[in-house]
Amino acid sequence: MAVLQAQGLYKSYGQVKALDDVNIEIEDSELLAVIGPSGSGKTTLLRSIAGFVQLDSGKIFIKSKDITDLPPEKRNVAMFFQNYALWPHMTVFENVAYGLKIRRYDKKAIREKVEWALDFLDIKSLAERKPNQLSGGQQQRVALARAIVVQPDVLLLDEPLSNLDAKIRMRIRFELKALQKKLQIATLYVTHDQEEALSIADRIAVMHNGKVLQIGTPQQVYKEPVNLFVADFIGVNSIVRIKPLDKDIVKVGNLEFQPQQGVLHLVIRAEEARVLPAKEHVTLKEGDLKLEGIIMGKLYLGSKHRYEIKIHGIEEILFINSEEAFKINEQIQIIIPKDSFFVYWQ
Amino acid sequence: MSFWQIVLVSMPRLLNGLTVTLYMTVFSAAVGLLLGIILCLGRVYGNKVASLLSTGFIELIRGTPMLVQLFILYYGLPSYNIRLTPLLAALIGFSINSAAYQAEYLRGSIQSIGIGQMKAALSIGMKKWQAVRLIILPQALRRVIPAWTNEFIYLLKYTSMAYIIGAPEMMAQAKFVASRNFEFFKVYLLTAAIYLSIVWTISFVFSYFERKLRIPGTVVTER
Repeated sequence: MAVLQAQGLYKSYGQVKALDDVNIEIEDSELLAVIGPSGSGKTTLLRSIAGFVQLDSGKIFIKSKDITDLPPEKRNVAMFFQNYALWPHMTVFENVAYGLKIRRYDKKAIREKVEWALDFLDIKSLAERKPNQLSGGQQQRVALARAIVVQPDVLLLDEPLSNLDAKIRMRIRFELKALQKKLQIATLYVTHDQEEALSIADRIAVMHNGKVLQIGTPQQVYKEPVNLFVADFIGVNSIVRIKPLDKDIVKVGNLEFQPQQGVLHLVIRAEEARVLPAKEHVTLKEGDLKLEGIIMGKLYLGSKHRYEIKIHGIEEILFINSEEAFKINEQIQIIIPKDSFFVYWQ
Repeated sequence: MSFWQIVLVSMPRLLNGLTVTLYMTVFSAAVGLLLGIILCLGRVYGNKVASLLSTGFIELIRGTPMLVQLFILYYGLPSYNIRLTPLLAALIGFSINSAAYQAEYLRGSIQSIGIGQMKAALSIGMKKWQAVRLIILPQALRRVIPAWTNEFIYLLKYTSMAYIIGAPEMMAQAKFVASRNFEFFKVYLLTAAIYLSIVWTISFVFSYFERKLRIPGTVVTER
C-alpha cells in the first residue's frame, strides 16, 4: 500500500506548465528521488505535496486520506529545506522541540523525543547552541532532526546536499541512505544531481517540462532510458547526431540502422566506452558498437585523460575519458558495449 | 544676564516642560508600538479587509503633515462637539502618527526575514498565527530596534510641535521664559542642549538593548 499517492497533478504559472499530469506513488519506507534540470517542475511537485502550492487540478493522498486541500500544518508531512531554514533565535533543542510543543506533547515526552532525535543524528552535544554558531553540516543535521522528530508520514527533502562541499556530500549520501532505511519513512528526494539520485534512491522519477518521463529503479533508468532526454540526463554521455541523406540504411561504425523520421541521435555512455589503438584486434560481442576515429585533442585529468575524438565517416566529435595514453592525430577505435549506447530518432 | 544666571532662572520651567515632553514621547512610542504591530500584522498577514484597512490608515497618516493632524484633532473636532485638551490632542496625534511609521519599519523588518522561516514553521505543523508569534515576530522585533531608536528620537523632537496647540511641553516653556527675559539665544541654546543630552541617552540605552537581545552569530561583531 502506497503511503503517498499523487494523481494527475496539474499546475501552470502563466504559459509555463510546472506540473503536467504528474502521477507518482511512494511505498512505505521507500526513497523516491525526483530529478530533472532546473525548471522541470520537481520543486513544484515537492511544494505541492508540502502544501505550499495550490494545484490547478489533481489529488494527493497520504495513507489513503485526501489531503489535497489541507493547509501545510495539517498534512503530517515534514520538509527539509535546502537552506535549512533553522530558527536563529532558538537553541538547537528548541528548534527540534517546537514541532512537538505545538502538538501538545507533555514536557517529559518532548524531552525524550528531542533527545532521541539529537542522539539519532549524533548532535546531542549541540543542544544548547544557536543555529548561527554551527557549521553547515551541523545545521543540516539539526534541520533533519527537526523534520523527523514529529514522525511524519512523508519526509520531503529539497536538494538536501546542495549546500555542502563535494567531499562531505559523498559521505553524507551514505549516512542519509542508512538513516532513511533505519527510520522507515516514505521519502521524496528532489535533486538535480543524477549521480546522487542513482546512488541513494530506491526508485527515480525523471522530470522534464512538468512531465514525469520515466519512473524506475536506478538500474532501469540507467540501463533502459525510455527516450533521448532521459538517456542524456542520466550518466556521463556523448551524443552524436546523424541526419540520413536519403532512404538508404544509416551506417554508424559497424552497425546499420533503418532510417526513420527525423535525425538519428546516438547517446553513448562515455564512462563505459573503451578507447584502443586502431590496429589492435578486438573480438566484438553481438550488438557492440565499434567506431573509428582520430584523436584531435587531449586533457590530462590525473588518473586518466580526456580525449576529443573525431569519428570517421560521420565527422562528429566525441569526448571520452581513458586511462590509456594516446598521441594527437593517432588513429584509434572506440568499443561501446551493447547496453551502453542508445539510438533515438527525433 | 550671564549664561549661568539664565540657566538658573529658566531651569525649573524647562525641566517642568521636559517631564511633559518625555511623558508624551514615551506614551506615544508605546501606544504607537502596540498599534504599529497590529497595523503591520494586519497589512502583511491579514485577510483582504484587514490588509486594506491597515494599509489605508498607514498611508493616510504618512501622507499628511503631522501639524495638519494635530490641528484637525484640536481645532477641527470641536465642530462635532468633541473637545480635547491640548495635551490629549497631542498624545492622540503623536500615537497614531508613530503607529503608522512603526508599522512600516516593522513591515520592512518582517520582509527581510527569509520566506523559508515561515515555510519551515508551517511544515512542522504550526498554524499561520503561531508561526507569526513564535518565529517571525521574535526575529523581526529584534531587527527593528535600530529603526525604533530613530523613531524614538524623531518623536522626542516632534513633540515640540505640540506647543503650537498649547501643550505645556519644553518648547512652550522655553518660549515663555525667553519672551519674559528676552534672552532668546541663550534660552533656546539651553533648550537645544537638553534635547541633545536626552537624544544621546536614548541612543545609548537602545544600542545597549540591541546588543543584549542580538541573536548570537547574526552580526559580525567589532573587535
